[in-house]
Amino acid sequence: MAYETKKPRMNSRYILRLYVTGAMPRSVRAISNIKAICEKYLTNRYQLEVIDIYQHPLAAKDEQIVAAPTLIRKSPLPMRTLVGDMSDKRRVLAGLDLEED
Amino acid sequence: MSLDMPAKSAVGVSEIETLRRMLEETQEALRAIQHGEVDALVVPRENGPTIFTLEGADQSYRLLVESMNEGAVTVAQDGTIFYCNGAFARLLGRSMDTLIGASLLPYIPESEREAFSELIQAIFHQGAKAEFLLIRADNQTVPVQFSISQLPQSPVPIFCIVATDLSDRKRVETVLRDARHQLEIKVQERTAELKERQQEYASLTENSPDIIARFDVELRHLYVNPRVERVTGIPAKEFIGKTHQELGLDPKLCALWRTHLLHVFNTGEPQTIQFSFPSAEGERNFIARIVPEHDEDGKVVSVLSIASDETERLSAQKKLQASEEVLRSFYDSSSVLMGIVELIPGDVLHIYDNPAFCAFFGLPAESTRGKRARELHLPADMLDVWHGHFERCLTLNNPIRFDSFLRHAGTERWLGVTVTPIGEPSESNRRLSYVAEDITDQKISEFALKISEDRLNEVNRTLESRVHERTRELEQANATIKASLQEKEVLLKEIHHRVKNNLQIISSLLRMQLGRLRNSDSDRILQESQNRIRSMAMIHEQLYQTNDMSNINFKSYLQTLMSHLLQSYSDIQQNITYELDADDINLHLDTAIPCALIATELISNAFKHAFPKATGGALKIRFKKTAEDHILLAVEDNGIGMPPNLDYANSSSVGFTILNALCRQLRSKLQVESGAAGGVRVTLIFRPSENINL
Repeated sequence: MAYETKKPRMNSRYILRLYVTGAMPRSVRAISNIKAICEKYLTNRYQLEVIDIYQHPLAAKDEQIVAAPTLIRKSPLPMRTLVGDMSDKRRVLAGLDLEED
Repeated sequence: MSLDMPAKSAVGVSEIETLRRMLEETQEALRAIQHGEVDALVVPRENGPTIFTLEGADQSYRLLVESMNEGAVTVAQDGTIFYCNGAFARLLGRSMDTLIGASLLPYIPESEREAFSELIQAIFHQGAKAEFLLIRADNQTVPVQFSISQLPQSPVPIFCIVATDLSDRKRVETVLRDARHQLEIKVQERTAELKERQQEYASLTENSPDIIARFDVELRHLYVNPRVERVTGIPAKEFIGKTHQELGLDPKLCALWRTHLLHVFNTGEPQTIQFSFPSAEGERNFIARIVPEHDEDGKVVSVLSIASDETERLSAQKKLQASEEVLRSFYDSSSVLMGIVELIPGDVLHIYDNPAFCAFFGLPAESTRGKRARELHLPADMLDVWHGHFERCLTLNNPIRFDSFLRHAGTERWLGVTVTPIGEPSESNRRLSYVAEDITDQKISEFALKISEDRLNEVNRTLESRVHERTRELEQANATIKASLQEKEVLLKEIHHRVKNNLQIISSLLRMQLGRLRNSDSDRILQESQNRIRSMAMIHEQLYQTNDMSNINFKSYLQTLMSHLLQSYSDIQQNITYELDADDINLHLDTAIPCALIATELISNAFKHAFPKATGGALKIRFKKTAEDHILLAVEDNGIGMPPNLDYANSSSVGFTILNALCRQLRSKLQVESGAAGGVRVTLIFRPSENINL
């Protein structure tokens, strides 16, 4: 990522939102991938909310979602947006400002 | 999303930040789209965002339909199959290819086809459910349930059917039906059984020896069994619907029943009462149990009473009580120690001990109950001994008797104890009864007796050894006496021998003198003297030749004497015969010498005077025992007889003087008379001296 802001402190609490389209293949993959990463790197300090934009179309509008699946880091600030099935672990960790062990 | 940016100088730093972020987000979205990582794009429209999926949005639903276990099929109104899933094809046992485009109808049995068509026609908006059979490729049929609905918004009517395989359910239904059938049969059987049982109970109740009655809340009889008539004399029928008072029974009895029946109704607690009734068979005692009967809400609606005649049992109990009292009086008043104990490891548990036991050990009566022996401070050495015997008694399962010594309260006592197992001994039953008697006095006398016995034995032993000693001394003395007696005998023999020798010397001296003398008178006198001395010497000779030193067998002496005199007088008398008639008589020396001299004189006289012509003759000598323990000596010849003027008693001749002197010595007298053959017979009867040996 070209632009670096100061990294969030260790142990800060993560609030994540994943926007998916029903049980479509990449959405399903994205759910399982992000869950695995959170469980491993953010044990006991994250909150993950999965939102189906079929059922809540207006939520997509509010967040200006362009594609699904999309992950939004609500906290810690600044907000971050990741799009895709979250299968590239290195990218996901970088996007969440987490370091690989 | 607006991309028209104001000039950099004119906008704030924060605005640039926002724009930068938006750009990044857009780049990220584009990257993901390029890499095929998204399912859908969201495009905002006037009436809300529209979602465009990048692949068939129904993919997941198709997968669902394809992979589900229910059969799914879409058909046209005439039954043509547009689509079916794998499960449906499996249901029919055919491949999907042969089914799609074909008609469903041939797979439905003819009998059901019309119903199916009618069902399809009738469906409009609402779905329908119905059971059909399907014909499989192997001609077997499968029961299925069709859930049919019409697909909406299609230009021609298309029907969607979900087919559920009912084979398993049908099987279960069959099993259930069978099971229900079985159950029904069982219920019927049980009902019949119950009816039978009820009849049995009814008959039991009717014939019970107890009085069974049921009362309602008004205490009226609902039921009473026939037994009541035998006791009260009132038929059972009369009881129904009446209370005890209404039946006119004893008021006291009525009150008793009333109290307890009401109690059961009010509290629901069973009651037991005891009462007596003067029946026709005499006074009977009853024990009645009154129990409540509840309805479904738990309220007592009636009570049941069962009264059993306990007259015999109660009287037996009374008798038992009486006999127990008798036993108890023995137990309590006995001076013998008695009780019941239980053997526990290392100790003895006292169940009950009689007053004598407590008194013996100085304990208050009844204080030992349930205590362990060590708690009671009974003498420890006694406990160990008793415990051992108790153990042995249980092992042998036999009564055991033993004596126990104990020191208690400064006294020494002996107890004679007998223990007996109570019942069959086992792990759980280790109870024993004991009976103990104070045998101290008995033991003391036994002990005293033993001491005196010991002493007596000792005295006996001492005496015995003394007797032994004395016997030995006496034996020694006896031997000494014997030896000295023998010595004396030898000496006596020696004396007799010497006397004989001396007499013989004298006799020889006389014979020598005789040889020198030519005078016939002197010659005769000397010869007579020599004969006299010789006869004495012969006595002594015979004495030392035999073992008897004081007695002489006079018969053998007379023989010896006779042969000597025959020889001595052979110069003047030949042809003399003699006859000796003698008993075997032993004479003591005191008697023998005078007797021998008398015999010598008498025989010599016969030789000298009886046969003057020397023509021969006969002598008869008798030596006999007479009746009165006297002895007779007689010498008889057959010679010329006595001269007429002979007075031998006053004769002064030496021969007669000697004879008279010797006869006096024997306290006797000579008797002279004519012999039977014409000669002379001289007889002497004398009494032998005391120590004569016949």
